[in-house]
Amino acid sequence: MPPHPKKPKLNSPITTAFAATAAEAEVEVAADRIAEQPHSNADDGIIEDLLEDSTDNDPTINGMSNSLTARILGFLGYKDIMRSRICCRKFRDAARTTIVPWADGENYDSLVRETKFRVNNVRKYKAMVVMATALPNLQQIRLYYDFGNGHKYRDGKDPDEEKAASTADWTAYEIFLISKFSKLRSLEIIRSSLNGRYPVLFNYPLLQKLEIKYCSHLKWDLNALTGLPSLKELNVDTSDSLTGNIKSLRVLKDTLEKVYIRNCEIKGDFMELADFPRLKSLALYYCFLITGDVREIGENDFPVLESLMLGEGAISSTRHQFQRISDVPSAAGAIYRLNRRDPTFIRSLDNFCWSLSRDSPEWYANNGKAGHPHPPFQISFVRAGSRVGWRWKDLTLRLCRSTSTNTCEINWLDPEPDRESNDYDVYTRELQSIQEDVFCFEGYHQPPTEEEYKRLCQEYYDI
Amino acid sequence: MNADECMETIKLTSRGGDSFELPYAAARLAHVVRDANDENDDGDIDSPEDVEILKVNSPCLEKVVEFLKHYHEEALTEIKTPLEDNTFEGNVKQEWYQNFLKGIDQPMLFDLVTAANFMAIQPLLDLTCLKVSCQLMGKSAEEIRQILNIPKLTPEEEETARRDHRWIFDD
Repeated sequence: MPPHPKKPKLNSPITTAFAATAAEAEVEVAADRIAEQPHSNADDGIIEDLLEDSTDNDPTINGMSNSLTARILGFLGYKDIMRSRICCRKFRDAARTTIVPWADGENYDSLVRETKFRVNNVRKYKAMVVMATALPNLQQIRLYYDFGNGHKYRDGKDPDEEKAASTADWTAYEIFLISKFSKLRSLEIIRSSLNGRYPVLFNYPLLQKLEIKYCSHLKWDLNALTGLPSLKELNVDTSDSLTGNIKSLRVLKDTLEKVYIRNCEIKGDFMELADFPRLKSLALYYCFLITGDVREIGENDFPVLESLMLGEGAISSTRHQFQRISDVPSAAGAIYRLNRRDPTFIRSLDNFCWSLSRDSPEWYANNGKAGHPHPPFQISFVRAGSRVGWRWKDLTLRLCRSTSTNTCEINWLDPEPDRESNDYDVYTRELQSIQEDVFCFEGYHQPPTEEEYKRLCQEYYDI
Repeated sequence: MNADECMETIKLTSRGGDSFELPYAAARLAHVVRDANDENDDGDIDSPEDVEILKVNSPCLEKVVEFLKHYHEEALTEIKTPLEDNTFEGNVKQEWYQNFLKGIDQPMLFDLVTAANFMAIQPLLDLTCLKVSCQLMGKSAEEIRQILNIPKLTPEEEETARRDHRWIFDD
């Protein structure tokens, strides 16, 4: 051994790259290390002092620093932590800084440790009051169904007057204390009694997941999301008092991965999100005021999107009803092009169920004669071998995927396969099968006019 | 020279004056060793030197060195939270690491936690903290007090805790 081995320099900031769930844990532990060595301009005397440190002689939990104890508790779920904290002051102090682990929805069910705190009755509400100071670094909270008759959260600003009046004599509980959970990463509010505006619900710097479902009186606007700068997942369903424009999501351009909004009266063009670099899933079901046109999606738009679901208001969405027959070829071409893109968010062309809108000037009713075909106002993609096309078909069966007996001619999106290719036999066989559906609309690549339709019916059926 | 490929050995010396030899490349998992050797951010060092670990006693340092040597050969798989299992073995699947903490007594376990923290060995800190955590899972406060040899709360503290506590568990 060399005569003067090196001694650790206690004043050097030791980078401890702890894989904690939150950056705060690292800071906490680092700060604690420094705190353990108060005179950190080390000389050899300090080391002697440290040796006198009583913690060295107390190899129990009491010898542990606060942050180490918090770290031990940090492997547990909130119930175990709350149970442990009864044991001693050490655990109680540590619980105040313990970061409770959190799990996202996908692997949640397989976990044995509870990480999500559910507030669904008065008892749980009171537990939340305790935890707001005892365990403020809880990361997942779900408020759902809350209290039932006679109890409610205190009305927010600008509440629904009728609801407020009918519940005026109910016991009201303050929701404001939820703001003490400043490290929340997941907040779910489902069928809650919240009535009015609560800015406190939209102010969490670390929040990654927000779910608001069936809260008819919770008033909020999409622009409230500015208070949630880390949001990755937005999941909203039937939030009747939600307002705003999808454009407001642009403040979350670099974080959003999943947007699901169903049955809400929000406005705007879904193409506002086209340049979001992490957006994997976009669903705007039953949001009839959302506009936009799938044909406008360029090669570089939605770079990592894997799933796209739009309401009927967006042109070329899966269930779009077209106003003009002449819009369909470009829409089909666009969908086909996006289907071929890698990675693609249009994985199956079979899901498309387009039709001509009844409001279209080109629409007309069927001739009302039994056994006659309806006008071919429905559109579907077809395939023969590897060759893809689309065609108009009649509405007789009203089901998109069922075989129709009266279709127009196929509009091909691919060239005919080479006669020499391996695929050619399959192609001809399947082509023959789908061609059998073309009967009275033979020769038509798009729906006939009303006069033509009537004439064709007469020619083919009134014999 | 790049520290990760450094083949030289160094000695870590405990508070009791015992020295334990190990390759520098293994020892540098402890940030306290890197810092003592002035390893810069690029991981370059000159000739590695011995380090005194005055805060750690001999039996504990021996155990730490055993960990460091093995970690260099087979790294510990990251422990993911929330935990997937109720047992230590269910969360740490590697046999060597399971055995590493098997049969050690409570004071040694706490010594290892403190040593891992002082020496800034993150995987050892994770492993030892997890071991303690697993002793607490599903246990009542009284059981935890016995396991960890914790003195009781004062009656007032006990009362407050019970009152707070009641809301959490009876469901």
